[in-house]
Amino acid sequence: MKNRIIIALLFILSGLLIILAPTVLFPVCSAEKMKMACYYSAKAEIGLGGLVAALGAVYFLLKSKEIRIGITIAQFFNAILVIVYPLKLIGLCKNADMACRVKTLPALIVLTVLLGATALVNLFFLAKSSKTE
Amino acid sequence: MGSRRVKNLIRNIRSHAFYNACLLVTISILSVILFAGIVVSRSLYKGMDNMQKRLGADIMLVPKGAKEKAENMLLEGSRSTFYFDASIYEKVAAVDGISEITSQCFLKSLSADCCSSEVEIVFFDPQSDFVVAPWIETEYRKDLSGNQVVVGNSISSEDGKIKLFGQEYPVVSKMAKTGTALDSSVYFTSEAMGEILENAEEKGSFLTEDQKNGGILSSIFINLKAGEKSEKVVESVHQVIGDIFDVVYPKQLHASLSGSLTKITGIVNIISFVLGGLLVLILLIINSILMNQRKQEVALFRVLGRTKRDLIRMLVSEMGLISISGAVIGCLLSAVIVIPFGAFIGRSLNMPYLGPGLAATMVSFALIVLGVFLIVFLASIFFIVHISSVDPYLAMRREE
Repeated sequence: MKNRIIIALLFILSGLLIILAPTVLFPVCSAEKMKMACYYSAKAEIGLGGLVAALGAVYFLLKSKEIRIGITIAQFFNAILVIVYPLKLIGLCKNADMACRVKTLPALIVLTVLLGATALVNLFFLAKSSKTE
Repeated sequence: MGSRRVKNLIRNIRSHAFYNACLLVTISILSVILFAGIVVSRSLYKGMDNMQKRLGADIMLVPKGAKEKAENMLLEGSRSTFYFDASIYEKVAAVDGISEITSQCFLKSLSADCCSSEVEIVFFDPQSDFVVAPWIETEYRKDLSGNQVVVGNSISSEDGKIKLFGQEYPVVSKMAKTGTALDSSVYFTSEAMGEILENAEEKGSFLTEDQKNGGILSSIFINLKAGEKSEKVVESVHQVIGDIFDVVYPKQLHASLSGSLTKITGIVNIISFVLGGLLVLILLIINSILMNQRKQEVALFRVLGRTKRDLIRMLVSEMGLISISGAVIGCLLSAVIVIPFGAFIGRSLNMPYLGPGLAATMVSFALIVLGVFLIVFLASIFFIVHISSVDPYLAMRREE
């Protein structure tokens, strides 16, 4: 129960931060004059953050350990997607001193590590407790 | 250390989970502060050092009234254009006391052309240049032809080309990273200026009359002969071309930034010192509670035949495992935040910032792990020796 609450909260928090990082906390470049790659990366991150938070809520509601292991694995790959969107799939502005590269990208790197590490540690504990049962 | 011994150590640590977790968190916070402080300070000093080298001229002449613009351009990366009549260059070059002289001309690119933002286009003379060349990473081409471009370290080019005013230009070389605004400039030879200005006008860029007429330059960089005083040379230049220029002294700019840097690192050091001291105090308190709790356990081990030396070794090993784990976790956590946010930190402080590089980061990492281990060792060795020396009979009776 304790594991479920803590991990679900961490997943939901990560999801919310993935939504807020490129939009509110460390916003990407302004799209007033022109919509650049970072604008679309931010949109994708909003969707991905929503998915991460929703999976966090599902994690809290379900008791089955196998399903929770599955959700944790999914969250690990979501963590990879968080950084792959801006770096490879969609991209950011080319110039290294643009806001999206100076602020948003580092924030997304931190969130990738946070979500990925949470998923990996949780996976380790779930696998270990499954073995002992 | 055998795996059985490690398992025993972990079991011992887990049997006092709460206090050891407090110890781990305290050590991690201490490591986060130390690592962040060291990396940020080093990066600021490295950036400052590079900036001093990069502004490698004794005097920079700019048109009258453009001094502030020129300083902001060098320090903060604001895009500016200001012009002299090019004919003054030869007159200034003839002044006594000058060992090296070169000129540059600045132009802003269109916002959406190459880089999703404006870049400063700098035209330089490769024959007389001593400012740009030392920073070109690959082979410096004295025979750089008109349409070839050297780019600052922050400028990315696709397929070795860069698009400016609708025209693609081959990138022949990239400048080394300086940690300053100069990283987001592109460099052409002076002979490319006419063609680029034409393209700029075609693409609807607003050109001033000066720019349309050509024969312009933005700044003149001067290195003085050894022993020559800058005031004397500036006075001579005044006599030759009149009061049409302002003087920027790159070394003075550096000196004023150095003052700010000393203040910033001073504040960082004071905060680190105070927080570090506070954390060491917390460490001492946790250690005293933890060791007091373990008195009976240690006494029992003594009764069962373990020597005092064995017990000291066991307790020091536990502390070592916790301190090294805490230091590694803290340093990793700090690295994940401080390293990616480096450019943001530099920009927020308005200072040149250049990351310390992998080797220096690894050295800092190792030193902090070692330092934290020593701090924890010193903060706990008194308690460890004390409880190992307590008479087992007395210790067990007091716990009864």
